[in-house]
Amino acid sequence: MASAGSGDEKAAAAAMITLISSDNEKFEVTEATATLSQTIRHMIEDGCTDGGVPLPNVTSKILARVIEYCKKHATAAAGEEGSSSSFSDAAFLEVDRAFLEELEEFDDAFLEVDRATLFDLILAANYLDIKGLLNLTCQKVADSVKGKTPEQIREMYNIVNDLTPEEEAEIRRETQWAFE
Amino acid sequence: MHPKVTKRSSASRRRERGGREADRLSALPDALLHHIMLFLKAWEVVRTCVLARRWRHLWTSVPCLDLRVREDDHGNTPEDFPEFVRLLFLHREASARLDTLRLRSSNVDSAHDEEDSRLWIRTAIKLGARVIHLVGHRRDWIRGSSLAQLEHASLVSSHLKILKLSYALLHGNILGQLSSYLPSLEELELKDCFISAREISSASLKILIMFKCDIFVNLSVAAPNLVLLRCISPITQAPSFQNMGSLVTGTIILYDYAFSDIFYKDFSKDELSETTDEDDDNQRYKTRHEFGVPPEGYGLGYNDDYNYGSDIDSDDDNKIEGGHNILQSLSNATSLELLADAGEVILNRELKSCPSFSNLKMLSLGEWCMDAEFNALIFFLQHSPNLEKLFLELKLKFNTRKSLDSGVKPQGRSFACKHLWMVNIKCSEDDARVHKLAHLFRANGIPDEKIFVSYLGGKKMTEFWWED
Repeated sequence: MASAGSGDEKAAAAAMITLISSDNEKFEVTEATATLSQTIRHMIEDGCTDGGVPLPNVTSKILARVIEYCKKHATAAAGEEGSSSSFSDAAFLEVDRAFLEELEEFDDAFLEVDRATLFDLILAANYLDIKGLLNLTCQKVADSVKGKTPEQIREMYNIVNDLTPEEEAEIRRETQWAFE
Repeated sequence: MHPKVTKRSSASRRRERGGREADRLSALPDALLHHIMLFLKAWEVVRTCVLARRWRHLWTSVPCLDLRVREDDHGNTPEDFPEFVRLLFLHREASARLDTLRLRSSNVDSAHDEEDSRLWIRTAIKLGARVIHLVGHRRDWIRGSSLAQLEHASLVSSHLKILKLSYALLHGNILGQLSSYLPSLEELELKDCFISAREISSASLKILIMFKCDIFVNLSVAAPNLVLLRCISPITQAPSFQNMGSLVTGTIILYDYAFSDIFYKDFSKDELSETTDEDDDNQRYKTRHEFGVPPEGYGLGYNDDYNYGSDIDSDDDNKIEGGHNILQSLSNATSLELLADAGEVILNRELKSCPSFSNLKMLSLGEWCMDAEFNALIFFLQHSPNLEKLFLELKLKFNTRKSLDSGVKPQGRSFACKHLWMVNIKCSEDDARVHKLAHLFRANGIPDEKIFVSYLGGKKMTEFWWED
């Protein structure tokens, strides 16, 4: 939970994991950082991380961003080592509020990406099973469509309306109860 | 904080090729589109059906329905709301599992009432819902809004794992026999609830969160398999706890002022001055912040304008009820956070009958342990042989003149925390007590390198440089 160096003793002793992106770039991260990904956590538990973890679905550019997120959030999670992992999300202690605010600021800044990167992050978070990152990125998309008309949503995301005018009229008739 | 990443190259490449950027949204698999829909209201979800063919039936299998109408949703929500919900359930794909239902007990503008919400809960339970989140209204006679009321009949489920209630009135035996009608319930979250029930009892419960609940009667919690407990700022009375041998993490934040009569007046005033009782858990970290930082002038702000706590005289102590076994029941925990203002009655009382905390690795203590002699703090250190990390949150704007009168004498005040590798003290910049604390730790073999001081006000953590 301490943000400045105070966890060094433990961190230095922690095992390092090598992650390998689809374009064959290697990233060395601590186990605490890597295990924010449930996918990688399971691999570590099964003892199959020797020689690096290949992540064929994640490019180096996206992996770098994902690791940036995990590093920041792993510091936050460090306070709960020893607590049952399945409750890690809820087991967060309120010991450092300033850090929580910092984390929120980090998340906001982290989301300042173009749309293509946002979707790449969603797919990577899903593949790596990083709940916090998946929620963060999906909520960003949800927030962007809130209060928008279907036309505005199509425009925003380049959704091609492949419904014929007749079909669209029919759907609108069928679901009129949701629109009025 | 970090460089803004742009992806001009690939985006423009795509634009050159196809004339426009690809539709990445529709290309997501159903499960991810459903995940995005978690953060939308039910009517917003249904309305995606006209976007394109890909979207036509997506909503019919969405696993989460959020029926909570917010103030700023008005004008945007379906006019006949009960009819909308009826058709929504009717047109759902029969085989699709409903995971989560979020709803309001009634709507302020009478768009739906308690009868409707009970029907929706029953329907969701029939569809196998795992999570139900029911939000009532802050009691407000002027607008006629009221708390949500639960009834046994609509809440019988062998699937339900998580029940979250906000602004609900819980009375009678509604929480007493949880095991019999909600045998799979693992998480119960009560936020701003009014509790006149005498017991919370469940063998399956693993997580219990009580946030700013007003407890009218002696409430006893019997949850032997609880792993996580958060009891934040109870009002009128603190709950009492029976053995919780499985507990790993506990947070107790008590505030004596909330147990006094004066509080009630202030509290109601405060509540009315707030304009909203919206309960939107979609907002990131909001709950976390709320747990830690209650509204101004209430809770753990350690605000000097309200200098209660230490000023509560002994006559008032007797009035403070509840909280029995509150520390003893936490004795197996690995992480504890115990925050209260100076002179807090319940924790100081319970400390006297406290056992040791043999599993405790991480402990966070508040002002209540910072008496002139640090007695409570030393008690914890003497009874937590395996402690690794200690966080001390000192009151801000502490009157330093008072504190410097008596020095702490290390004699007879020794403790042995062999594994303690970090002491983090949070205080205001002029708080001279850090020196006394450092002295105490040094005398017990904890060197200055392991002590970190963060001054509130500035965000950055500063490594403390000791003057002597």
